[in-house]
Formats: sequence, C-alpha cells, structure tokens
Amino acid sequence: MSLIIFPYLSLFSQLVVVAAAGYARKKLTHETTILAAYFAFGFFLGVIQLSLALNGINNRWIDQFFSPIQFTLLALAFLGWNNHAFVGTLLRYLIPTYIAAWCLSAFWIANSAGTATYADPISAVILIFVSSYTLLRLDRLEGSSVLDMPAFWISAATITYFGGTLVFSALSISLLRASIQTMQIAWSTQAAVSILANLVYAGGFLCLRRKT
Amino acid sequence: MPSSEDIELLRAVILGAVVFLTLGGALAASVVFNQRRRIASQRKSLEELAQKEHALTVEVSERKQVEIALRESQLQYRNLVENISEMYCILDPQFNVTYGSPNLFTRTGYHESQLIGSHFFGLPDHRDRQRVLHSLEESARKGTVDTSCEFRLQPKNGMAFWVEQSTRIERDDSGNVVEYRSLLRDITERKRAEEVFRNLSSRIIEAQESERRRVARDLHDGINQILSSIQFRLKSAEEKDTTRKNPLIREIGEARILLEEAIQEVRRISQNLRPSILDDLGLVAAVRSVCDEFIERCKIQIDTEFSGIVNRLPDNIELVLFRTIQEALNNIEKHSSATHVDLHLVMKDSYIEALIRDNGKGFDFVSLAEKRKKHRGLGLDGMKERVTYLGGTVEVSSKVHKGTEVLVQIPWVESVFSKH
Repeated sequence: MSLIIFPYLSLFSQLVVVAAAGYARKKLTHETTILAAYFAFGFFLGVIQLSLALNGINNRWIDQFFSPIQFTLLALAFLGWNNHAFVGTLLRYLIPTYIAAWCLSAFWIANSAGTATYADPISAVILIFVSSYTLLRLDRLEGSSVLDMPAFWISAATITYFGGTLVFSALSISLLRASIQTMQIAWSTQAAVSILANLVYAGGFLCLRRKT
Repeated sequence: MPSSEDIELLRAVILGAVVFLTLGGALAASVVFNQRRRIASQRKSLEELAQKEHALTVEVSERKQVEIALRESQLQYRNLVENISEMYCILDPQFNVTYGSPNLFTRTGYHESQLIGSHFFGLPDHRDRQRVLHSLEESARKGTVDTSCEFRLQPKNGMAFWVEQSTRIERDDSGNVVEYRSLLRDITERKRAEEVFRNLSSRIIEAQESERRRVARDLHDGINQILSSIQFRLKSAEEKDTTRKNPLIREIGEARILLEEAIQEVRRISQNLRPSILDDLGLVAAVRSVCDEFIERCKIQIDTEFSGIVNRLPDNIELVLFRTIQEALNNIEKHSSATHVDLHLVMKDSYIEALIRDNGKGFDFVSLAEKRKKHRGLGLDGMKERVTYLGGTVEVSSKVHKGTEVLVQIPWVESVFSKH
C-alpha cells in the first residue's frame, strides 16, 4: 500500500467527524457547535488544499490562514467547558493575545512560513495543556459517566492530534532537508495520528446521541 | 536507502507521536478508570445505604407501631384519669403544675389557665403548706418512689377540704426527679369519722375518769369515814380494859389493826383511782407524790427532773401524763426487777415530753407480742390510746437486760386549741 493514501484517509476521517457532528446535530451544545463548525471548515480547507496540491499549486498559505482560526475555535470550545476554572480565565486572555501576536508576526515582522514555524507549536502546547487540564477536571467530576461527555473525547483527541502536530512542527525543518521517502513516512505518521484523533473527535459527537 | 540521519528523524517522529498518543490515552484511561472505581465505590455505598434505609424503614415501622400502641395506651390512661372521681395532677421538679385532670379544676374552682404553670403549693391550706412541701422534698431527696400525705386543700371558694395525696416520683437514669404524679383523694368524710371517733374516745375516757373520781370520792368520803368511825369505836372499847387480859378485848385490838390496814388500802385505792393532789396541786406535785409512794413501796430509787413546766397544764394533758407515768411505774414494779429509774418531765417549745427509763431486765418485743395475745399486756395500748387522743406519740424501746425506755410527747399548742 502506497503511503500517499494516508493524507486522503486523513481527509476522509475529517469527513467522518463532520458526519458524526451532523448525526448529533439536534443535541449539539454551544461548545460542540463551535467544534462542528471548526471541523466543517477544516474539512472544506482540506479539500481545497488537496485540489491545489493535485494541481501543483502551493497550498501552504491555507495552513497559515487556518492556524489562528483553528486555535480560536478550539480555545472557545474549551473556554465553554472551563468557563469558571483557572484555564477559562487564562484562555480569555490567550485567545486575543494569540491572534494579535499572530497578526503582528504574519504582516509586519516575518513572512508567513516563519510565523507558522512558531505559531503552530505554541498553539499546540497551549491546547495540549488546556486539554490535559480539562481531563484532570473531569477526573474529579462526580455524577454521570465521562464517556458520555464530549469534553472527555475532545480533550483526549486534542492531546493526540496536537501532540503529533507538535512533534512534526518541532522536526519540520529537519524533515525539509530529509529525503522524499523519509518525508512521506513522517507525513504518513502524522496523518495516521490525525486519523486516530479524528475518530476520537467523532466519538465526542456520537456520545451526545448516547447521552440520555 | 534512507540515510541514518533520516532513520533517526523518523524514529523521533514516531517516538514523539507514540509519546503523545500514550499521554492522551493514558490520561483518558486514567479518568475512565478513576470514574469507574468511584462509581463502584458509590454503588457499594448506595447498597449499604439501601440496606441501612431498609433497616431504618423497618425500625420506623416498628416505632410507628409502638407509637400507635403508646398513643392508645395514653388515650386509655387519659380516659381513666379524666373519669375517676379523684383529682390527678403532674408536677415538674420545681412543683409547678404541668397537667391537671378535669376533676382538679372542678373541685378547686380554678380555671386550667390559672393552675397550669402555677406552683402546686398554692393549693394546700396555709396551715399545711410547709408540711406538704417538706414531705415531698424529703421524699425526693431520700430517693423514695411513692409517698403520701394528708392536708387541707384550699379551693377558690375558701371551703377547705381534706385530701390524701399519693405521689409517685418519676426519676431519670441518674436519679434526678423528672416529675411528680399525684393523686388527690377527698378524705373529708374519713376525717369527720375520725374526729367523731376521737370525740367518742375522749368521752369514754372522760366518763371513765369521772367514774373513777366518783368511786374515789365515795371510797374516801363514804367507806373510809365509816371504817374510821368503826376504828375509833373499837379503840374506845379497847381502852376500857386497861389490863388487856380479857380475850375479847385482845380480839378487838387485832380487829382494829386489820381495820387500820383496810383503811390504808382503801386510801391507796382511792388515790390511785383519782389522786386528789392532781386536781388540787397539779401534775408535778402528783407525780412527786406517786414517786414517793413508789420509792416507799418498791424500794427502787427514782431520779426526777422537772423542767419548764408551767404552774398548771390543761386538765386533759395533766391527766394523760399522770396516768402514763403511773402505768409506766406500775410496769416497772411488776415486770422490770429494776433498781433505778430516771423520770424526766420537760416542757419543750411545742410539746411536753415525759421520759421514764429503768435499768431492769427489759423485754423482747416479739415475745411481748405473743404474750399480749394471751394476756392484757403491759397497758401500752391504753397508754397509747390516751396519748393519741391528744395528738401525741408514745415510743417504747427495750432490749433484754438493758432496761426499758418510755418516751411520751404531747403537742402543747394543739392541745390548747383542742380543749381550751
């Protein structure tokens, strides 16, 4: 099996998440609605990226453009779940700060590729921290099962997905100098992680249907 | 072939991905595991709670049954209390009325709101109040369960009537009084009957004394005068024969001596029946006279002490004390084999006390009781009857070979009220 299939599978897994969100649309909460929008938008950009790539056009700018939107939407969802906690307060400051820093970096200080080199790992670290904190809060939660809570699935998936992103971002410069075969394996690995994370994200929507 | 640098790079990518996969998975698994454990623990607690709830339900059910039974019992008790002719009340440890039966309010004339919460000692007549209070306090202090006393109850209309108060003192585990439950029975009729009986007894005694006085007077003024006259004539006849050789004159002389003894005996009987000295000179002189005669007759020493006796006491008290002392000395003479007697007659604040103590052989009360079944005993009954009539008491204490003591106490003020 060619490694080239993984990005397609990754895109398809995003469609699975969007489908799961559509399946649970009547039970979507404020946070899960934001996430549904995020995944729908992400899938839409993914399709555009793929079509651009297939036509040999540079699609890197789409990632740069999507980065602050991705952070903002995910952060807003986590803000909803941690509204009264320490992380909620932190996110209220971090979202505008991150966007401002990103804009400043992208338009006045550096080029877009350089901004992505720093912005993606930073947003990944923040989101991994917030997800871990959310999981720890759920650990102390009494009452209904965590498996019926979207926050549980979304947090676990976010740690997985942005963990992969973080590793890939950290090694991206080295990967650019590596052979094509190595790059394919590395991207496929990231795509595999993304597929797994997307399936877990889907679980976050499907659990709403199970919830009584 | 990928270079070693590429392999290292790929290894780092995969390792990094695995690390974060493991982190996410471990965190999620930990949360699920912890929650499952908590749920299991909560389920166990819930089961225990359910068991406790069941036990509690059973207990509550049993308690309800007990409460129902108790309520029924209380209802029956209340019906009983509210329908009996006696009065019933419950007092708190400070003697405040906490409950009263309807009869209590009817008989006293006070409304429920006037009695409930008020002090119980507003009900007894002022003459009995202290005595009743003292009786209840003493019983509470001594740990007594049941106590009773009689007193005059003062209703609202002022028409006092006698009641007998039977009280049960309820206590807690520490022995502290929780409440007093009193049953008040109207004993006015009984008291009247007792009064009639007392009056009757007093009349009998008075009749007896009157008869004794008459017989004593007849003996002294009638028979004794005749006997003295005969003695005088016999003496005159005897003196006509100065030689005293005539056998008839000798017989007359012997008859005169016997006659003199008879006169003395009649005089003694007369004195015993009603000593004129008691009427003429009073109790102390009469007792001294009896003592002198006793010493002369029995050769037993008597130490007397008379203290605080006013010149004359009421007739009935003088007579009762005199007869009691007389009876006690008679007993000593007949039964005690004593060699010494102490006799004290003392006037105290509110009563007169007579104490007669001997050093004789004493007696055992059990054998005395058996003896009294067969014979008339030592005259103690008569002694007690006379003293009780005056509201007094007689205490006799004795031990074998350790003498006997008779203590008589007669209330002075009461006697004055009753007779004067």
